[in-house]
Amino acid sequence: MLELASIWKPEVQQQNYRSILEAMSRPGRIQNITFSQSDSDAMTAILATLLDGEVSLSDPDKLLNIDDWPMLQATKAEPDCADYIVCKGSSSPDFEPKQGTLSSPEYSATLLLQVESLTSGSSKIRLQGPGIETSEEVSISGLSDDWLTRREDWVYAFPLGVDMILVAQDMILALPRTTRLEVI
Amino acid sequence: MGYVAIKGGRDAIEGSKTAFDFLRTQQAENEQPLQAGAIENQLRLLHSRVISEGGLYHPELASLAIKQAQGDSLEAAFILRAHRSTVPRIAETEALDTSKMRVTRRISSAFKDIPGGQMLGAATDYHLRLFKMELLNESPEAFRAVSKQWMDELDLDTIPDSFPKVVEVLRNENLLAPIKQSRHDQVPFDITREPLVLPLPRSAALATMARGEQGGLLSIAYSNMRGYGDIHPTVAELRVGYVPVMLPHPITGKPMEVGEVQVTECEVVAMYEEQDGKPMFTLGYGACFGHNEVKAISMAILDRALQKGEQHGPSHPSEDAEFVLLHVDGIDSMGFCSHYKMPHYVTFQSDMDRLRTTQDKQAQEEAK
Amino acid sequence: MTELEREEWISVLNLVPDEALRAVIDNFPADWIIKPKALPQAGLGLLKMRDSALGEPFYLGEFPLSTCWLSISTQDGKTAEGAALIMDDRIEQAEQLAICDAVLSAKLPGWESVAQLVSLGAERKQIIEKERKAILARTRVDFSLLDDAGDDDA
Repeated sequence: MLELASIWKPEVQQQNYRSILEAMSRPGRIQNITFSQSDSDAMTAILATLLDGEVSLSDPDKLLNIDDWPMLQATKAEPDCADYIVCKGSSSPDFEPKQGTLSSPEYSATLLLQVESLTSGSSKIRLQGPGIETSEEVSISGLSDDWLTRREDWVYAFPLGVDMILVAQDMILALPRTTRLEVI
Repeated sequence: MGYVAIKGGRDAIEGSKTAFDFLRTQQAENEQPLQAGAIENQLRLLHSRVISEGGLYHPELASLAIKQAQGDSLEAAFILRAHRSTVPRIAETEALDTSKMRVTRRISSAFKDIPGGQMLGAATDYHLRLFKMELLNESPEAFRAVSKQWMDELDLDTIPDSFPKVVEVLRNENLLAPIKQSRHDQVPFDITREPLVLPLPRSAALATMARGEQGGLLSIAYSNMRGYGDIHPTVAELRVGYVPVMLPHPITGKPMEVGEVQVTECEVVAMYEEQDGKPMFTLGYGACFGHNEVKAISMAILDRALQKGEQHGPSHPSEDAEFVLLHVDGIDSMGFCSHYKMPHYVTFQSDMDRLRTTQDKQAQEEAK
Repeated sequence: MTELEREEWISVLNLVPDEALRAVIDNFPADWIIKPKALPQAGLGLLKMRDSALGEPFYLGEFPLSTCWLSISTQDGKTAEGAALIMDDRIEQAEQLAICDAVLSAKLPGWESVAQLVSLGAERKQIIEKERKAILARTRVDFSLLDDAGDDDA
């Protein structure tokens, strides 16, 4: 019978959805993503969970496996107009993601950045805002400072903004638009 | 205050659900539970009504909805509509037309001799409305009799696979305006994703009426027929049959048949008017899932009435898009109606307070 | 070999009894590697129609849809792609039909039994067509009788 990698199965996607939801509700706290090492990775597992045929995806750094595109069903788009954008955290953004409109702030982009580590590294950031009791501190490696600088502009006019998910190995950490960042 | 009273309802609500099921099953000793197939065939027209008002062509679930709702067509359509809202959209067809329809009934009240001929199909039009008492105690043998001999002694080779449309005959004779390319290429309005905010394109009106409630459509169309309007329709063609649903084969890219849907379709010819400098008949169009003739004809009349209202401004309720389109949906209207049964204790308390204050004031003034 | 076009296979195969289809599928080698080319899905299709009065497209409603597009690699190195789209909720049914599509298009071992199923389905389709045509044949109106009577009825 048909062999389907685990990340395409509803039970695994439900687990991963829960992790993404938890990450978004508690910015800065690391959550784990479930997938099988042999045939996929965390980034694809997140996309498999979040995407369907009605959204668009951009992959300017070519991080995704070409065979996964028809599985994800999302339409290909330029970063400036994509609903989801997958990028290398070490590169610098050279686009302006969608930030939504005042009447429909949900028509904004979700950025998924592939980084090296979420547990140690030179970028030390303090997070504050909804979902964080006082403050959280995280150390990240493989994330260009430019992302955080540009993010300041992107999330300036709340409720407009972008939401970010950082991905390393099987770990994710979310920076929703409501989170205030301070490099320390 | 108001809310305290609501809390005690939990057990009662559970009991009410059981009572609903008790009434369905109380004759369990002597009767068989209804099977989906029996509902689809023996209650064919109720099934058609639910499948079209639910807006989802799912014969099996429509049967289940009817069974579950104990035959309440509004409630059954609601269940079907609720289900569709939980399922992802994964494809959209190209614009299908009914020229490929596998017809089972086709009539015209405009001409006797329509190309391909008139076939009455299955209809109640010529029934005497007298009881067939034998159906009260139908034996299994009698029940099987018709289908057993159905195919006997028939020459089917002369029956074509599909039939030309009567409106095309009229169009070829220059009695109807040619189809405009600008209309042909329009992107239709998706009522399942966009709220109905006026003014609406005609595609929104057609989609709304296609899943509208038969009684609602009929009553507004009837107002036009009786005199609050002047469409004076003639049925150019009414057809019932199965339309093959085509989607591209993922590998070859060519269209493949994924299944078929039963559709009732009606075109009405109405008063002529000047169109692009030449007098031509006007048309109204109705179509819906299933076999629902009164609905398709009502829809066609309302389509024409709404076109007229849009062109010249509405002079009757049936020509007013807001009046028609916002009031023909069965799920909307029954939902609004049913919500009045929900506890309104707080709002009513406030009504009572105001009434008492007003009464007191009046009493004081009279005492002066 | 069946004379039907590939695009007609699935709709007739879908008319075959479940057990007959299952029996054919179960006979295919268990060591075939079957992988998805696109995500197998069950969902809804939106039915677009063209109104015949003014020629405008509009949405008539929705229908259930299951889709499957897969590739088969056999142990002796043959590969084939197959796909199925059916008006049904059952992804497994679409998957089985997609396997049949692949087997028949590339004549993988066992294709003859699929071709037989196609013929069986085509027969069933013809029966349905005939039953419907019988409705027309029995209810065709003969206006010549009206003319003979010299009726000038409107």
